[in-house]
Amino acid sequence: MVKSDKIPNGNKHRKIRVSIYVAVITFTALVFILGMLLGDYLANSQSDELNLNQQKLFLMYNGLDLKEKLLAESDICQFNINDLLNERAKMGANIETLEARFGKTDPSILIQKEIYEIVEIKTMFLIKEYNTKCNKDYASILFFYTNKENDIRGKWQASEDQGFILTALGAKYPEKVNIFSFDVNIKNPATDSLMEIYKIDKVPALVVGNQTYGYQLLSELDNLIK
Amino acid sequence: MAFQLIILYCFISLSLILSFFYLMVLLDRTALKFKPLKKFPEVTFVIPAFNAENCIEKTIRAIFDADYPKNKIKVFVVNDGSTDNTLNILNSLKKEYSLQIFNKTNEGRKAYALNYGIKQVKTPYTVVLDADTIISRGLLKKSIQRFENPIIMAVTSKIIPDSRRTFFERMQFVEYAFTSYARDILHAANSVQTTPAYAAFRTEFFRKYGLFDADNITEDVEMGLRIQKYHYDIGYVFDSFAETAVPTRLKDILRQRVRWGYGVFYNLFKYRRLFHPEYGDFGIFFLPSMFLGILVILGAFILAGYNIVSSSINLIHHLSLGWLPVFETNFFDVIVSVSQLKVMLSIFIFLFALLLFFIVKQNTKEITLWDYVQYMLIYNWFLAYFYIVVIIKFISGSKLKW
Repeated sequence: MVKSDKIPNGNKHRKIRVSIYVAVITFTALVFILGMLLGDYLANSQSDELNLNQQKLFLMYNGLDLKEKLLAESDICQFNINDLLNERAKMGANIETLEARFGKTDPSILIQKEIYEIVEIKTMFLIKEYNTKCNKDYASILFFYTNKENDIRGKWQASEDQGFILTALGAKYPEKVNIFSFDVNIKNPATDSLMEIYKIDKVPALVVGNQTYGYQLLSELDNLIK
Repeated sequence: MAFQLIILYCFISLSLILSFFYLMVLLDRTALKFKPLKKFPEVTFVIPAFNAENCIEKTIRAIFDADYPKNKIKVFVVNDGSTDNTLNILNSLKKEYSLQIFNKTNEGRKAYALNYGIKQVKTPYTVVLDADTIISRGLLKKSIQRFENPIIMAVTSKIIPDSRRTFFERMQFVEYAFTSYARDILHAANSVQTTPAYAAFRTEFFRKYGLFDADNITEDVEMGLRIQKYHYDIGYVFDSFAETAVPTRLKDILRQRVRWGYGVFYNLFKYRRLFHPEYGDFGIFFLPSMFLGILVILGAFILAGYNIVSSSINLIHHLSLGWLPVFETNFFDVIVSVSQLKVMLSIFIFLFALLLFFIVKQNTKEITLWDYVQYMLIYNWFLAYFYIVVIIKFISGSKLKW
């Protein structure tokens, strides 16, 4: 009650419509709940997509194995390697999208990446063989990076920048350059072996034609692949 | 990032609460029915005029064109030290209409001229009208009908800009249409808190509770809150309107809005004791919502501004590395993005905003979706800027000119 104010008319017309306050809070909460449920539903559909993605990667992995066995006895040059490379690039992009959505530390994404990196190594060897046997010059760049904020091996921002530079390089030479990215924090024996072979102890690191380099600008990479 | 998300969710919750509340009051209200006037009481229009040569004739002709007996209408024009042709125009109109002209020296504020005129009023009802505001034919009659309710001390109406040619005029048209609709809803909750360019009053209110506060930078807001303070009500005519001139240049709009915004802050502070359950929904929801609404606009635009700036810096950095954006997207990317709560809520708010547009369009058919889109995406940035200026001026204690 505002004591000092005279109320000549009374305040009977003043109402506090509790039911409206309750309804408003309920509706607001409902919108959030609905948003979360619908988001979860879509995320689950993505999870299915993610599993499908994983299965595709497995199939691709097995297919590569079989291809290797088959191609040992046949002419590798008869195969259209570009389809395989495009499929791999698409998988990589999907993993990147899921990583952005679910976070870089999501366990299912980390498993995806682990499998994907094995596929990358397999593809890398296939390209090497293809180049030798078919007299082609597909360039392969191995990119070692970190996503960790306080990684003693290097700053994640530098890794991110290097990623953008490599994307630019890939866009410049879509038919020629293949980039294989490896997260140094993924515990994968095959990736660890690669790091050992190329003596990777700092990130970002690049391997071009068996030589290991640190952070490279686009112009420097241009010169390296020529 | 998490902090940004929490802030974002707070603003979304706040905007949902405000919007739902208005919507609920709208759905909850009962249709008002008014008895036809058995007798037409005498009404005096008080029009302060300062250099109004371009508009005063139209304003006065519209009054005498009103659907109301002409012998019951008196018009007092207070020529507030005009240096243009206003007085000559008034003198020629005087030959045609029952018009009284009062000449006074300009004291810098409209309220002095209004009070000067109101003091001369002898009729039971006084209509306070800006010199550049034109009333529609039915407005006066409908306003007087509202006084059937004894707690109604003032009646205002839907007010729209008189022109929609330039960008800023069209944006203000959208703004006025939404404000008018909000005021209509506020009326259903006895919570209208201002008496703008057109307002009819019971003359007794001035005698009992005083004239306009001439020291107040927004005397209309002060008067509205004063009426509410004494537990009276402000009626609203939603099915008739007044057209008013609006500023067309950005610097004039800024000047006007800063004055309004500053006046609202000042008067809410002055009448802070009205933020009390004794004043019902008006005290505990609608008055606070005047602050909260500003907070939502400011918050949304500070967040959006921050994101635009940081994304632009990132984009420039990435472009400097030689990277070029690729404008292609696929179903997978779209679904993954949409599944985020912040995106889902944004979609809901977008749909809600669209619903509000169609609701308001029922009442103001002239607003177009394209103007509304521009209002939301462009004009709101100006509003946020205006509020920032107001807050800085208010906190720093700067004095404003009328």
